[in-house]
Amino acid sequence: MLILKRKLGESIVIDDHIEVHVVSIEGETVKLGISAPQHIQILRKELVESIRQENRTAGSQMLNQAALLQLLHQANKSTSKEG
Amino acid sequence: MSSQSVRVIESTAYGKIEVNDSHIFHFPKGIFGFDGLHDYVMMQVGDGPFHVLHALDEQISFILLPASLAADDYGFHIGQSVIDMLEIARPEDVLTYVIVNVIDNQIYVNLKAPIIINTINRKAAQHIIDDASYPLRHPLSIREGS
Repeated sequence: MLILKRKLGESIVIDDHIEVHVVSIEGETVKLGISAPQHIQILRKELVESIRQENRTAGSQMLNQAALLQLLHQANKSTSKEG
Repeated sequence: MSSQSVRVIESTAYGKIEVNDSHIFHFPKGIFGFDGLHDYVMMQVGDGPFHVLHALDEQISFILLPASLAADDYGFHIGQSVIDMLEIARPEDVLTYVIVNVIDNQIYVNLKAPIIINTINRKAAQHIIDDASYPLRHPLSIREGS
């Protein structure tokens, strides 16, 4: 891992076309401005991690169609009560 | 006469699955949390709306539901990175599914990270929608018999 020190207003450039700019620093919060081509997706790591975690739960289930339909039926009943 | 090969996988959840090449979907980047698994077979469960997406090489499987059945007014912009990776040429070539998750006997669908499939080349990806209005766990309720 590369570690760099940057001051307020300074930037780093990654691979010629991605620029990360230090916009502001307030206490423990750093605001970053990121310029990147449209095909680069930029996400908060905790969002990606929450999806990994959800997939791990969903990917190890063994439900058959009958069990799913039974659950759906229950879901329908409870929603129609509310409506 | 078909020149397509058929292989069989032994699934602990679903028993023996005969896999025709035309039902294999390739995930160039895998699915989040399972980055090393790239090839899955997709099969319909009975004659209902649910599908099983089963990894070819491990005992990992997901239950999918067509996104159109999962929520009203579900729509999003597919990023250029996904369009490039899946080589999507036309919007009508794309199918979208959501992953089903059952927690404490309640069915949820993941609207935050749907599965996008290019039906032409059977390349697929899980796409994260960076929009707070789509939850990771959306309680599912679909109209029966529709």
